[in-house]
Amino acid sequence: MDFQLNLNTETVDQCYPTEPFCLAPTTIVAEALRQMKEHNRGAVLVCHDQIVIGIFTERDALKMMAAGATFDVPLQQFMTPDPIVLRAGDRVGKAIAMMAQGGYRRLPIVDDRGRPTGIITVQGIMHYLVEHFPTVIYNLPPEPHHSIHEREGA
Amino acid sequence: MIFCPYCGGENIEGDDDCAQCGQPLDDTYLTPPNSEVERSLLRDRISVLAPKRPIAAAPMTPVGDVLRLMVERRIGCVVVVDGNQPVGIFSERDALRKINVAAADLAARPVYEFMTPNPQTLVADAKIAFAVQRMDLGEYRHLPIVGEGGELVGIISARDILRHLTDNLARGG
Repeated sequence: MDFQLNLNTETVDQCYPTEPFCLAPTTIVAEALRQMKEHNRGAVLVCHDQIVIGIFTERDALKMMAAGATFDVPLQQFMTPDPIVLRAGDRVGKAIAMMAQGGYRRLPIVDDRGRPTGIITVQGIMHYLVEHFPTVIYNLPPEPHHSIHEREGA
Repeated sequence: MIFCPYCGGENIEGDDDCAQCGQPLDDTYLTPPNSEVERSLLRDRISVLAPKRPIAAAPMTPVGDVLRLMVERRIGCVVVVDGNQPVGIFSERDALRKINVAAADLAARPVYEFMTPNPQTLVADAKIAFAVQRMDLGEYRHLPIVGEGGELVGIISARDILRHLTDNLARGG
């Protein structure tokens, strides 16, 4: 019950958002890929005048790699325009539901003018769960492949 | 009958250690689960997530073929198997970090050169709490599920776990 209360009261900034990582829509994909690799980021927010207008993820990159596409094109050509976003005041439960149902792995957080303030990732949500259930999750035996010894005579 | 504070397994009254996970049963400092979600994390096994059939590839498969497979099957990772034993995972992140703009030049190279070797695996009767812990520690989005002989039998994703939790909450948390 407590947990459900948390989900309905705590806001998404509790889910360890990462710093927004923004590039211009005219950035060449090859340069974006280089930067994603360098900074170990799975997505870039495509921003124009500081407003999020699209998202380009490692999934988009994968499709281009598989197709043997040229990377010498601007991001705006391969980004997903107008991504689903969260507001800073949105509840954790909303983010979890959107990820579980919509299949989104990351959701940008924007302020009331559409400027990005962070990105919530599925990893951030998992960490939130661990932090909320420390007794349940941290105290587990270290090796999940525990052998189940048969009870003698049973 | 008493329940193990670690794994939730049933034990005979008077036993010192849990017959399932080997942890001591007298840990009175552990607070009992106080919500349906906590109980679910401790009680439910990975098998309730109905792990999907994994898409597997042999180590020598050209990485270009694996990239196309991931797009066609709409999956985020491929389990690299030697026979039926998982020896690595090749994920979107591996593609970004190791293939990147060189996709055309590297397409014919074998996937084992780019996979993340020795993947963390779980058995289907491990608790969901285990999976959450492993995913958090290793920052994995996927965990292959193996049978008793270490053979690949399934795969679960972080999304499967989130869906399970939201289902539990919907049932009245």
